[in-house]
Amino acid sequence: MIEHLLNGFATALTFTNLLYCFFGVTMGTIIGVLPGIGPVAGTAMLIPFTFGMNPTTAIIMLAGIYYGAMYGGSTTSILVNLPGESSSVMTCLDGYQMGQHGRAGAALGISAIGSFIAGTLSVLGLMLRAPPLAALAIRFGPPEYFSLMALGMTLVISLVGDSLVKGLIAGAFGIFLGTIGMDPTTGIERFSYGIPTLLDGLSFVSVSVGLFALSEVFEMAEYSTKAPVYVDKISNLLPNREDWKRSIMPILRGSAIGFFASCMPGSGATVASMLAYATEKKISKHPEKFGTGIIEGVAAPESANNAATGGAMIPLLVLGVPGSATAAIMMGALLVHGMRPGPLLLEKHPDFFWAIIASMYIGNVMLLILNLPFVGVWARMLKIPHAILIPLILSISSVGVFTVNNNLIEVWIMLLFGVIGYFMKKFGFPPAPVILALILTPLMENALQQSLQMSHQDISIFFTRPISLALMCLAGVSLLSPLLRYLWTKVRSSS
Amino acid sequence: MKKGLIVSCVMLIALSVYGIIESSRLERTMQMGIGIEFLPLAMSLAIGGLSIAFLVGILRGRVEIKDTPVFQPDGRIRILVVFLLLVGYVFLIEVFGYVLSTFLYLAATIIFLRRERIVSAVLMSVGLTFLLFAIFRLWLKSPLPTGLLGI
Repeated sequence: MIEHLLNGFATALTFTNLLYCFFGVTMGTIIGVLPGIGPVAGTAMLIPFTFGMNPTTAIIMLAGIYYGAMYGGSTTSILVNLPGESSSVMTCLDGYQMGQHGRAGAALGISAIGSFIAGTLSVLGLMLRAPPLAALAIRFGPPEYFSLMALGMTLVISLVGDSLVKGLIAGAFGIFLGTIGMDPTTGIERFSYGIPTLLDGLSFVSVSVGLFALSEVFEMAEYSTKAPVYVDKISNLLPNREDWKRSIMPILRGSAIGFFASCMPGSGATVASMLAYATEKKISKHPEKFGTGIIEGVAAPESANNAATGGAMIPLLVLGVPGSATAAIMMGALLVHGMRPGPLLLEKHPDFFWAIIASMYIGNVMLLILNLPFVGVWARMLKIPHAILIPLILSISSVGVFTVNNNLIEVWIMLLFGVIGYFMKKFGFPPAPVILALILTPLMENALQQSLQMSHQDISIFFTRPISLALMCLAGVSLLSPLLRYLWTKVRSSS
Repeated sequence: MKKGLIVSCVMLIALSVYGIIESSRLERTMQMGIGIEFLPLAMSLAIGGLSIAFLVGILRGRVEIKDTPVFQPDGRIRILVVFLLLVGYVFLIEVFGYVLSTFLYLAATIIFLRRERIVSAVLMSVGLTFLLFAIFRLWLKSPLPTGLLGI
């Protein structure tokens, strides 16, 4: 393992990879700082930038955007009570109050240091857990893969959003979209109506930029065009001894919660930060002080959302099942670059896997440097008026999608999905299952066909192999969980 | 919000009907176990069934609906104009090419959203257009639409 890691560092420390790692974490920080643009939208928007790169450099940059956004998200939460992305919502509760009491510097400082510790620990966890899990998953056949992907989808559907029915509709819509194009087995066209752009299926870049980036910008245009007002003097960034004493355990607990929670598909950084905050409040001797501006309330959720990035890489890289929308977009980028995530990735491309791990260590150090002395620079980004940001992001998205295949039809598809994504948000339909299903459907359909061929069309193959059966049972439980929760609450309230 | 949700359900039911009709027209093949129509047909049925169930829930008052307007009162026009300007940009980019259409689009949108400082908006649009040109054309070496002016 040490040898692989050293080789990974040798790859990650080349000039090009260092440059793109730095570009990725810087863009991630900017995306995290700017309210309205989250890591999903940012990653989707910047995918076209990676097409001229080799797969390792591309994923180093995209991963940098992902974990960089987690660092940046806390800045707006603390300074203007506006979360840069959903996983920073919990940071607002105590972070903003600390800022109001003149302790914005300490809150930003502990957030950056906690994020660094958690980010580094989660990469360590990823490094230790991925190889044994890959060794286990390598024994999976098509039925196990089908069941695993079904489980991944049902978990995302049941955990994302506020309604299971809406999640199921979004998932079914995504699977339907995933069937557009030429069937890989028979070569017969489905729903492409002779349009050459649709023969290879809907471009996931157009769909993801539309669903996430455009819809967020449309929402930004609807709600406000004014930049928020904030305290611009930020001092005393380094925490004092008392701050350290009170924060170190919340940081470690938040790191563990964030890492383990995000290993499960569906529960990403947002759930992790909420769990970490709730845990700290529960075990605290003074739970009533949470929400009034205490440092534990910043340290725990910020550590958890950063640890979640390392954890989310496990299902993505080792099992080939993305657990969140950002991970799904990264999986799409990997597939575009000719890399198939899954247990064979470690065996066939160990140089790629370990270079990503090494780059995450390096990226975390870069982020600590970027976020402590330069926090004032990021805070000033809040002054950029939305009137400039909105057309700039829309222009980058349109030109970026065009440059993927030099095809304007893909830009029109992006526009269409921008409108669909905007209305999905308005009416509470989660967009994450759509993109996850769009990416997984061709793989799932292939695994389904192979499984049925193995069993001579007998569907019981999914229920007679122990691992497949266990995964199918878990998928069933995850779909039934809202009903079970409802029944449990009813039983408790009646008793 | 309730009206909007009802309209969404009706549109989803229409999508489901379209999916069912189009899937059943697909060539039936059983070369590899299941036919190519299986998945789209199953999903169309799922979308239709779930949407009907959801619609019934809304009409019977069993679905919790937020009592908020779908659009911000002053945001409706803003989002419509921003969207139409973007549609215009995608149309123009093929005719005028990247540089001119991006400049026109940025200037028009900034002026519309700021409603003042026309000169600074124009200057900013020029700067941003060339910044984006430098990123895509010079750094990433991506071919950009050229149009009538050849740039």
